[in-house]
Amino acid sequence: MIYARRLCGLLLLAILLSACDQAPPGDALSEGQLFPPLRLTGLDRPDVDIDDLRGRWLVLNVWATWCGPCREELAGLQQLDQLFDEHELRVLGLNVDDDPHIAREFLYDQAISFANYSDPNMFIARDLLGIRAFPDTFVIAPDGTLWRSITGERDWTSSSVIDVLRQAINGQPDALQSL
Amino acid sequence: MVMKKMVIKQHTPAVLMWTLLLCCCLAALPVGAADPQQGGKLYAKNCKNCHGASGIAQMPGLPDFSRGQGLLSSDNDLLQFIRNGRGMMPAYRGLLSDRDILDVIAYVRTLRR
Repeated sequence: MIYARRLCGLLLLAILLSACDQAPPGDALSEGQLFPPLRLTGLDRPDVDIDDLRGRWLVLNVWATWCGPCREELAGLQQLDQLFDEHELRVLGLNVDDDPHIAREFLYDQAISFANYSDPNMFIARDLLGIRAFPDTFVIAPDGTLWRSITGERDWTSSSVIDVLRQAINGQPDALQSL
Repeated sequence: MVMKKMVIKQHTPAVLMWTLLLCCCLAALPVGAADPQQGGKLYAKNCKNCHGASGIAQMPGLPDFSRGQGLLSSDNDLLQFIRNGRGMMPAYRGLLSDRDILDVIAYVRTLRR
């Protein structure tokens, strides 16, 4: 009887182990949907509920130090964050490195000062946001609506991108479709 | 002799359990050759938007897989490239397993005409 129970337990464990690398990714968020109410774990600052940041445009960039194009665009995002008033637009980073220390060191080394948060097991990135590749950037309206989801590197300091963001801040968010 | 039989009988369930566990774990390991059919499904979901259904890129500056461009590297080099991204190519580490990526590489190699 005891062996039968152990056998069942071990079989269950084996089935769970075999399913470990087969978890289906979450469905990607659709533009126009309300962005999910995430609790972000601070890398270099206190944790925050993303809903508490409503009232301004948010540019949430999901990145990793091992991701070449992610590293390339961080400096541009830093410039973008400094270009806008924090009541109009804020840039946030969500790092998915396994080890937050590596990300912290990288940010320090690159003098990146915009708010960064940590998602070491990719629960938020993969399961909640349904990200399919890195970097991925979400542009979120002041009311919490997701306006754009952009996969891949962008030049966030180009005049066309800055113009589009200014138009969005001035009440013309449709311009974001050209990003 | 009787004692030996009793010992064997006593240990049989444990041996059976460990054998089953080993079989299940082995079944979960990524063994065997890459599967281009599975790679095709993953390609359609993750790569087609930029690289095109038949490997002819939808954007300027991307390789034309139907002419074998970008495919001269080894599977391992391509695996690292897809995992970590470079330039316009985003990174897939943590989102696609190495086995998935090798399946995609196997599929992409079939696109050459």
